[in-house]
Amino acid sequence: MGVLSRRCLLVPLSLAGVLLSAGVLSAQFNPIVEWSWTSSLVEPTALNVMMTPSVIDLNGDGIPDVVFASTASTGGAVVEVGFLRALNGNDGSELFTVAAPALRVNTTCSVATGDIDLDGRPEIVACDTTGNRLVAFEHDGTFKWRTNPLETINWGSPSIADLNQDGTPEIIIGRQALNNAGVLLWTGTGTSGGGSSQGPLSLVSDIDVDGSPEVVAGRTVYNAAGGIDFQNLALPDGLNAVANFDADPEAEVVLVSAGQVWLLEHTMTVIWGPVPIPGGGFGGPPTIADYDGDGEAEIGVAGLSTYTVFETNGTVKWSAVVQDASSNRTGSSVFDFEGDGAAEVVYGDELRLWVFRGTDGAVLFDTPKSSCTWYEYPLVADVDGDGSAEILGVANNNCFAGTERGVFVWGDANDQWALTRPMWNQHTYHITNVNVDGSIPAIEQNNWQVTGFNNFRLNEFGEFEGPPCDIDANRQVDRDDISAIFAARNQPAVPGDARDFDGDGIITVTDARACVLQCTNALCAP
Amino acid sequence: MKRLLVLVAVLAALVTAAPARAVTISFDPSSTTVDVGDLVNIDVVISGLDASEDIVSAYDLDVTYNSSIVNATGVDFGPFLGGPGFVLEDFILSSGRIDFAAESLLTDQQLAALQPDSFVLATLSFIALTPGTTALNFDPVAPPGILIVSFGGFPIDPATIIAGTGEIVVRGPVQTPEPSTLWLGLVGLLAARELRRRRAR
Repeated sequence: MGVLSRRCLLVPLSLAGVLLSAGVLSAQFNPIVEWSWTSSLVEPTALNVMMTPSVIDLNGDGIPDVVFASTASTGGAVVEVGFLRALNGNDGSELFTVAAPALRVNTTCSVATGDIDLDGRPEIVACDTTGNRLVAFEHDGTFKWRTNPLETINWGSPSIADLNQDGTPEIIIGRQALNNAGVLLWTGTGTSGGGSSQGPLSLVSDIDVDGSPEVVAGRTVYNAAGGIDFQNLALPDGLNAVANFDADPEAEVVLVSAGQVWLLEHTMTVIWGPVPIPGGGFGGPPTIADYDGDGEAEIGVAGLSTYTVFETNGTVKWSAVVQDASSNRTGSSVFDFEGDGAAEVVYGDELRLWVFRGTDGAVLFDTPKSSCTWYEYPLVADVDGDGSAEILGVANNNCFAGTERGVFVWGDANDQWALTRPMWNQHTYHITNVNVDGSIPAIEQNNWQVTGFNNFRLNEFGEFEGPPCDIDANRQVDRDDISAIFAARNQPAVPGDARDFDGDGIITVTDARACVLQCTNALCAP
Repeated sequence: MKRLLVLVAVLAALVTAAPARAVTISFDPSSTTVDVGDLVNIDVVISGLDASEDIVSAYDLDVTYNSSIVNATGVDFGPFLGGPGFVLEDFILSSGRIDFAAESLLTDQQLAALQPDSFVLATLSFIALTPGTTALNFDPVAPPGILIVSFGGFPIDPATIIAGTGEIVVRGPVQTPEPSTLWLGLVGLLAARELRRRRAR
């Protein structure tokens, strides 16, 4: 089924509202397991997964791949040694496992993927077993480089962004930035964006809209050169997300730390907070979305015994009972499966995968999925390349007697979930940080300034698809898109392949020419 | 009277009807003779275009040849799809086959103003390997066949494109007399001369 016909399945907004309020639409929310990875011939005992995976097309076959690491350990340590793996997103078959003892990785640290060396293929940035070094792999799992010792990483995860906007990405981990060869560029002097000793989860975004990206790390905002632009010494270090909550163009910053939530101006001055997380716990990496379809941004945070959505003004919108006594700082993601303008919450606690309705927290779906819990979260992406959204979750039996281990993909039994990108490349994913082809934009569009976005840890959904022919999903059709189509001439198209403009199943110069005529700028200039 | 009217109508139709469109792709020169080791360039020419009817906004062609006679060494693209910076070009050389394609980034209107009725799409380069003759043919079968894209991103119906053929004749080495042959000839001449002189006495 092609992209155009899938679009026809989207429920119109007005009708969706009626159906949702009548309880009809939720009846269509019927996830089934599309595939799972629960055994392997390579390192067969290493089946415990506790990181947020990455979804990206590693080998350029047009099918997304799933990148993660797994361990045989059943402990609950900050470093769990295991193996980097990649699966074909279409069916879960294994692409590779990096089994060499010297190349084992820390499986509690989520990988980041993206084309850091501009070779047209994404690389994989993971954490090594020391708990303080990054290690990079080529798209096929071959070793690329390893950093010198850095600051504590543990559960923390790197981000990939072009800090200096020179076209070559940098890697950011906590308050440190490295070049694309893993050489340290700078170490900031403020906080690192982590919770206690678990590790940092800093993010990159141009929150002050000055044209240059900042690194947001807890209570500190670093400029691209590592200097401190803003900080609030009265606040603790913690976990962040950014989006726009008011009328000014700058982003606001959500800070979660020690069981409390703050909303901050981009200058780190407090707008509201601290607001306690109902049920306590440290609190996990926050999400930002329009959970109720009111056009405003709200905040989702997982705690020890609840998952809570906070209104724009900091009041509690709803709390749902969950169980996360182990880490009580797991992440979550958000997606508007039904295309009704209100996002659903996707979350995994120690026992189950949950999907909560964004408007009121009603349980739309839950199923057994065990984890000792770290920073990980289930995500939503077009995992199998069919155009539609799937839920990608991981499981482990660390710490306690869980039963599920491995990687699981759920899709809609009726194949009616909204379209989305075949992409989720890092823990601090926010759509505009990466192009669909795995390249990192030299100048990232501010997520909150793109129509229909204003979110964090939420994937793009169908009604906000880019223009036809926008292969790299940068919201314009330009020479890069035409080159991508032309380079694939005479290759068979995959289902929903945007390069196959005329939908005849083969990519030709005719498709490229049709897209030239769609170019945003004269002569297809970027 | 009725017959007369029909005849007039038919004649009028014949006089006023536009000539059938005939876009042709051909090799220039269509036949050339070279020696072993020589380099030879063959233009691929498109003709029969009418800017009001057709342009070339993109194309993808395959040319086949006998790789035991000649070997392809490269492709140079013509300037009429926009020139450097305004066109994407690519070619793949494999045994007995040249796959070459170009994609213009100009608008249809710019291309209509730029392109004459006949022009060189690309120049194919070969080196002659062994004596013999190789045909040059446009492959209508291998994907995407003979694909020439015109206005609006629509391909010209390949059934309406006349595809010419070409050939390269590679000569064998020229036979040069060996020294022993020269000597034998000289002796023969001298003998004949002596014989004529004796007969004259």
